[in-house]
Amino acid sequence: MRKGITLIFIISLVLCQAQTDSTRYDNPDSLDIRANNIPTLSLNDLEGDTQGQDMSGLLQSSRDPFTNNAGYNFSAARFRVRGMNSNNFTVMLNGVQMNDPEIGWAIWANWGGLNDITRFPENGQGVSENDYHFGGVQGYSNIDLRASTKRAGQRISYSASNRSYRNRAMVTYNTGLNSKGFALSASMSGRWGDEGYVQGTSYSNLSYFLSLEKKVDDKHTFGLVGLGSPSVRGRSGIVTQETYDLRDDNFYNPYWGYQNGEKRNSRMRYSHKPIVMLWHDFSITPTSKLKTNIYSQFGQYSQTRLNFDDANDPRPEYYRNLPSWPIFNGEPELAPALADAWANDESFYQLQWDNFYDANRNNLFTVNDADGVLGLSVQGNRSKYILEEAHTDPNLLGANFNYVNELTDKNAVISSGLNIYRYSSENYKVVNDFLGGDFWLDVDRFNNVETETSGNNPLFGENGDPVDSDLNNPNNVILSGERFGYDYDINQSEVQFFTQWRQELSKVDYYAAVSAGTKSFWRDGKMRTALFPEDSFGESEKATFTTGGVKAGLDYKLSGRHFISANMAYMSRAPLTRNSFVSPRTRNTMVGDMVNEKISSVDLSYHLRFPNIKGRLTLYQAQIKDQASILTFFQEGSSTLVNFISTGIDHQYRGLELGLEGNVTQTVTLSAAIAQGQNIYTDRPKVTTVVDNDNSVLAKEEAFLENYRVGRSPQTAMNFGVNYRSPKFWFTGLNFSYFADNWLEPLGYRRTSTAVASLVNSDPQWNQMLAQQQLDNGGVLNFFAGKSWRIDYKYYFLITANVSNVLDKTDFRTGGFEQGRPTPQTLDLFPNRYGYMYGRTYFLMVRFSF
Amino acid sequence: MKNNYLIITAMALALAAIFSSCERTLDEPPLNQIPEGNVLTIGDLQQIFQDSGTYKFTEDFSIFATVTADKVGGNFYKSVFIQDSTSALNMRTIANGGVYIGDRIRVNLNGSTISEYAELLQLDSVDVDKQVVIQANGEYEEPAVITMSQALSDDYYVGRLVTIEDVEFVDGDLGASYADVNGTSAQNRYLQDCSGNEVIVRTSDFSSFAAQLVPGGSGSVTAILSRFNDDRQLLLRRVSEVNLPELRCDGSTGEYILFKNFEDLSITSGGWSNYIVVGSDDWFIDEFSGNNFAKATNWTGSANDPSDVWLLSPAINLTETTSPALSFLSIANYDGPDMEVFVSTDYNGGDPNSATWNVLSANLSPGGWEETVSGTIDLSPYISANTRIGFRYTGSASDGATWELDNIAIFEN
Repeated sequence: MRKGITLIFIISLVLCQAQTDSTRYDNPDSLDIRANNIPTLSLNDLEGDTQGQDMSGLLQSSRDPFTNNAGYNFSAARFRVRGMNSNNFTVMLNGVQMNDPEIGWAIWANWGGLNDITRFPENGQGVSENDYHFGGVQGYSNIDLRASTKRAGQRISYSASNRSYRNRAMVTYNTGLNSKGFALSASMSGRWGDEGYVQGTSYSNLSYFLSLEKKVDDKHTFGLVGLGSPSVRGRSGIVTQETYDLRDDNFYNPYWGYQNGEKRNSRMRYSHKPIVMLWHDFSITPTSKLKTNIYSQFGQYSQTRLNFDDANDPRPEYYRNLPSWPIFNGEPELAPALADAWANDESFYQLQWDNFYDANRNNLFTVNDADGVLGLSVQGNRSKYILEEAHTDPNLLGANFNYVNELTDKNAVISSGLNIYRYSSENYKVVNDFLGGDFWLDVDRFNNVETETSGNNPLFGENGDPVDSDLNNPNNVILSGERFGYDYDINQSEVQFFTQWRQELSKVDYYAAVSAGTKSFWRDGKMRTALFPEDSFGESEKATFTTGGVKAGLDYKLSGRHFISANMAYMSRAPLTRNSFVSPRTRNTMVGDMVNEKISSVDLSYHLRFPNIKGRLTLYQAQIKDQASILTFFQEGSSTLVNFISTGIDHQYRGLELGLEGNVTQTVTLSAAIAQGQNIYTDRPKVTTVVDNDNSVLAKEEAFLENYRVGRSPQTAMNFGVNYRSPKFWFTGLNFSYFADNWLEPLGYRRTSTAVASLVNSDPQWNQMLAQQQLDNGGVLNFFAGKSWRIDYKYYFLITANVSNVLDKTDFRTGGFEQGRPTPQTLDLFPNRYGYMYGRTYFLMVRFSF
Repeated sequence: MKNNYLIITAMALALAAIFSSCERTLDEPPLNQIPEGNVLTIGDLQQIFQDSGTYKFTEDFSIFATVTADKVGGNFYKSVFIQDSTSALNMRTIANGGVYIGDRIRVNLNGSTISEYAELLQLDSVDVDKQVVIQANGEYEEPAVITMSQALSDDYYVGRLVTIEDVEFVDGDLGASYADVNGTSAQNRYLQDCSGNEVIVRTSDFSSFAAQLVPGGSGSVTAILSRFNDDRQLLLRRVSEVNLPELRCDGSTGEYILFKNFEDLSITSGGWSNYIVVGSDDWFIDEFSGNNFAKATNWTGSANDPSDVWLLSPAINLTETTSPALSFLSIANYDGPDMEVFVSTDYNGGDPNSATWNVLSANLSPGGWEETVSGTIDLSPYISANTRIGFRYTGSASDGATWELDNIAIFEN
């Protein structure tokens, strides 16, 4: 039996070792345009371009038969639990919620690589009891960082892979609680590779973790935790099918090119956001405990991209570089040459860094009255192409109090929590690389009020016309390290309180909880933008929201083997800051009529727990109402940059989850996990199109989205697995996963009367504009195997291998997005973009523990 | 136990070492000098074109020149003008921008083509990134001061920056904007000297001053002198180079007492009104090629409606004037009665038939969508505090033309 437990333990290790980083696809429409200064380029990164890893706790190992089998296997298709955004999933470190205040979900990359520490979180699925936090309706995960909870020992491992990185090395050292009441846990991990599965994607990460703990006496224990995961990654982008076909490669990455013979990626992501926690556990009585956490997060997060001026769009995937452009433009004779260049000319279909240097070095330019200083002339090579670096640097300080009181006579527990934090982020751009030039001139390219030349500074208006990004600093010659383009802080403060009662009776366990909170946020502009001089510099008004929630649930034990559980919750949630400012890069303006989101959820489950068979069947229904979103993109119809604001987005998520695990023999386990959902829009969002340049409202109308599917996840996913565990300490297994009902997220902007105003419903464009794209269903086969040795009962050695997508299927689409740009006439120029599941990849690991 | 510490420490150090060593600084590519080859003048290029027609350079040749027009102002798109002491040409660039007025540049001609477009010498497909070296800034060319007749006949000045003196916009353009806002092409306006010689001022709808009205006075204009076949055209660099502060040749100021061009998409703004005497058709705003105007038609799509509809000006006080005049543009097509133009001094609203109207004689469009300037219509017989203009459209059940009306102007002549 001990062996069996050990093996299960090992298998679960293999599964979570194999986690991939599930990066969200960039949604170009959601880019924030100002970040980029170029409408065309800007099409590439808004909402999806978040800080990376939107990985829900689902991927963690778990004893839950559904989650355990869905976990890693479903992540390959970007499956989301119940189809919801991960901001409904609460992730905690040491009982403190660490969901990003601006984005809403937890950014796992903040502690990426520290698998030895984060491996065994405490999980809850859906609405459940939770002593630390009120929690989200998708579930929660709590990672205990206290040194004393880490099993004493040392562990060294090395892994080789061909996914995001090539190598990983980890060392971990845990003392356990020693006789002096002291414990230390330290871990360090490196992940690196010049190129991952996708060309041009480099990876470099060195993460660290240190946890110290001192038990002073039976009442007081203190601890200090510090962790961080600095990383630099080269990213990949997704493109249209036309582009993939031209390259005959569904993993074509347009972001890189050769510089001096070496591959260089234009989209580098730098992240280092360390977390520090000081905690105190106070056992007031043997049955009541107060946990206090003072915590802080700070550091840097930035992404690079090309910016350009006085030049054509340097991106190879720009739509005018595709053969469809001359065909659309009535010059089909030009198409074959383009197709040929796509097939054969690497200098055409990848970036040409050397050319950027050449162009910048020959571009002599004189800026008069530079930096607003009359008579100051600056002459030098003005960069036409730069690599700019867009920052969102966080600064968080919080305190968390958690009081848990056991009422032993009642077999009940009361727990309460109070969380207070103050968050701010600095958002700005700096030049990462002048690419051979001497400076960059900070003029606002989105401002199309391009006026006459003064004869001196051709890029500036003659009468102080508004072309400067910052009126407080006109004619700004940008040198290294200077902020340009935009610069503002987002400030946020929140107080959350909850209290929960739970009790175990002979047949029934039940709980009930309430929560209340208040959240405020405001913008603080550091530049006075030319277009909004009165509404860009200084602090905006403060938006304040009061929220609350109730939840309750029970487990009814039919017998020791069967039980039924039911949970329900209703809560409100303040909008995210990123859905609240119309165009934070240029002004303080907030979206009108902001209201709390309303979330409700009910579920009913049947659980089976036999020694040889475990199962869970859950039926759920949840609604999230009054959500908001903002997308910014260049609109082909009005030829202008617009902010497309949706409010009153109502979703309903309804479906079932089934997990089954059974031991067929002593050595063979069969498992199944099935998720089947129907996640739909239940109402017509209100959509407002606001011109970025002048705040004028182009349209205010309904988006006809009722009964459209919620996108971004397959709504049907299933996995069937067979595991073999040899008594000789080796194991192997196969998993087959199948995904269906995956839809692209529908853009509300394309489902308005304005969008189809020029059409009648017999036009082919009518459907093209309105229909929602469903992705093909498909399956994937994964394999794993491993063997362990124990030497002298002292040393422990493990080798595992994991092969994903064994059959090397490279044509399975896992997601994508609709482009926001087209009008009915230009739909063929701006079709959907798709991302594909990696082909066959491996992950090998050797680990030595002692 | 000690050993374990050592091993762990060593491993951690090794990991850190791996990373400190893999922070690489990027190698910058070497400076790639654009080759100079043999140096030619723009005059040489003109000769090459005259000798051998369109010619594509496939070897390194360079010209040195000064930029005289650029993208700022929006009137030049992917196009600049350059000149040297020998000649001038239009340089077409594959990206918009990159060189600016006053830049002294060297252009490597390799890969570019010398040709003519509508008899204007041009250098095509120049990739500024790869072919142009900017050698100095602020080297502004002085415009050549020329007369109207030089502008119209002397080939030497084609492509060059020039200043033409003693000119004014023609009467028909008074009140017109340089180009059409939200349009997609370019518009011609006409400058004339006191002898009536005219040269085109052609302005892109994308220029930043497209919406500005042309000034009424006379004076000088600095611009690039271009040509389109036999037509000479001035291309403005910036509106401040249109300097017309003097009285016109006829002694008037060229300023308006009343002006309506319908670009605000309103028939009734400024106190204008319309009145349907017969039928249900009305004056309405329509747009062609970015230009907005008033339009009337009695064609329903399948038949003609009997129609009698007036477009009526507000009351105009002409008592301060001595020789007021009216001008407008008309365009017509299809068979039917002509639009009629009236003036009244006793109309006070309501049915126009309640007032006394005098017919004004104007040059009207002969049909075929031909744009026709009315000419200067003298209003001095009708000076009053309540002078009104009426445009009357009529059609019958059997026929009816389409009339378009624009740039209605009343001014001191």
